[in-house]
Amino acid sequence: MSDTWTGRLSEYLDEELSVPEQRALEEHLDECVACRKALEELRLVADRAAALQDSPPAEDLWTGIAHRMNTAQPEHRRGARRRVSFSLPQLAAAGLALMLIGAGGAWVALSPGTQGTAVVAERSALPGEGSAAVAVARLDYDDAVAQLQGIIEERRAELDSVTVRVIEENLAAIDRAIDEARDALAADPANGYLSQHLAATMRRKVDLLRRAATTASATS
Amino acid sequence: MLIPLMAAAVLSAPLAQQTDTVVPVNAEARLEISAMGGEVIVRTWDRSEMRVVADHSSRERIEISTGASYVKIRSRRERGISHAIDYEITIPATMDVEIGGTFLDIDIEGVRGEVTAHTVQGELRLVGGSRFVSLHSTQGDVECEGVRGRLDIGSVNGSLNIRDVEGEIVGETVNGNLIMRGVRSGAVEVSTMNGEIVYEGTIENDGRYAFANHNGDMMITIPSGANANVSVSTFSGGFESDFPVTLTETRSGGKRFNFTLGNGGARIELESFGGTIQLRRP
Repeated sequence: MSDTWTGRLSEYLDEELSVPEQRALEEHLDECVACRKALEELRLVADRAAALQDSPPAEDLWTGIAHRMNTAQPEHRRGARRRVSFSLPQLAAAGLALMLIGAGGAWVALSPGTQGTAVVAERSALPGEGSAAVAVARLDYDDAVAQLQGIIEERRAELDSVTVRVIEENLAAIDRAIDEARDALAADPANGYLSQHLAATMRRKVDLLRRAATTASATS
Repeated sequence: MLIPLMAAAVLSAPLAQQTDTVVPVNAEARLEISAMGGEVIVRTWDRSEMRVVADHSSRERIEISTGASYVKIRSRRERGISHAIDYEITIPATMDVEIGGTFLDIDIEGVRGEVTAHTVQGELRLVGGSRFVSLHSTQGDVECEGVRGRLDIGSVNGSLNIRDVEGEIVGETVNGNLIMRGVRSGAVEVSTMNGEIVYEGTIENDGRYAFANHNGDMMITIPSGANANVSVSTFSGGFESDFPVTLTETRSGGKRFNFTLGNGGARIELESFGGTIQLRRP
């Protein structure tokens, strides 16, 4: 990937490059698959940030991202356009919320038999050092699902009705599988396979939502 | 009154038009096509030229731009809603191909370069492709044959059909079967949520093979003389084997167990929450 341009993708997205720079970057994008993919990811993050601005959720995803990036939380100004300037490492950090559940599904791996929606208050109720990680990972999962569902709902009208139906049917099937895996894990809490299977099924749900959100972004 | 109205409608309706053009291209370049809907058929020949035949409405214009390392095909519409465009494109076999669309069927044959093809509603078919091949459809079956390289294949509501592939395979679908035949690979990682998994291929001594589903049976063909450590996990499914196996470790009331074939070596993970896992000989 080009060192010259990777750091300037967010400026490009924010239309802050000069016209010659913009043209030069577009020429580079024609030839660099990695930068095109990075730009696509950046757009998705920008869309999510924009969604936060319009309807801030109870648990702002940015808080978690900023905390992990160890940077100051950006100012939330309703009505103003949120500038999204990420370097690639920061972009990776922004994706962390989604990736966390990919890391073996920490919450299920660390808390056999845990059920229901984790909330902040429940973190302290979970014993052991791993419990905070469990709760945070679960919270990130819920956040990620809520954010992505928000994006899809916002752009629902722009998606083809057949596509929406297919996505909804498959999400429902995944939810049923998640319920089955949870019930199974409750019956056999020490079963490592069931923990991993539940984590993998939850990850599958986020992947599908993310795909749907990307499709919505691409068609809008 | 009706007749003049119909005449006006006919006059204002876009006419069908065909673009048929041949342009010189770099045989090492990448072909990029972005289309909203229709069909893209790609074939190859032994020339440093590309032929594009496109059926489209008269309000649509086909634009071809070329650079040292790319060839782009786009359509531009003066006004109104985009119509489906059917392309038949012939390119040098060595070119890489990147195609993306929403309501698009994609059929590629003979390409020896990298292939990336993504669609939302449509079928995907590829014969050929090398180094890195990525095929994804949200709603549609994906079929490939003759890939030589890493294969990343996926769907949401469709089956994946893989034949005669040599190289690493990563595949995932939500609601569909996953059929692999004639595979020569040391790394296979595939999963479906609701669907069967069939694998007929090599088991290499240092290979890693992971097959997982939630519902649906799994049929894995193990060549005679294969050396592998096999782990089986299920919750409410079953296990059947054409040949005797000696379990080395069992857990969860016999629903999770390991066994070794030959001298061990390869790692095979078979996981089905509710389906039956079957091991067969070729």
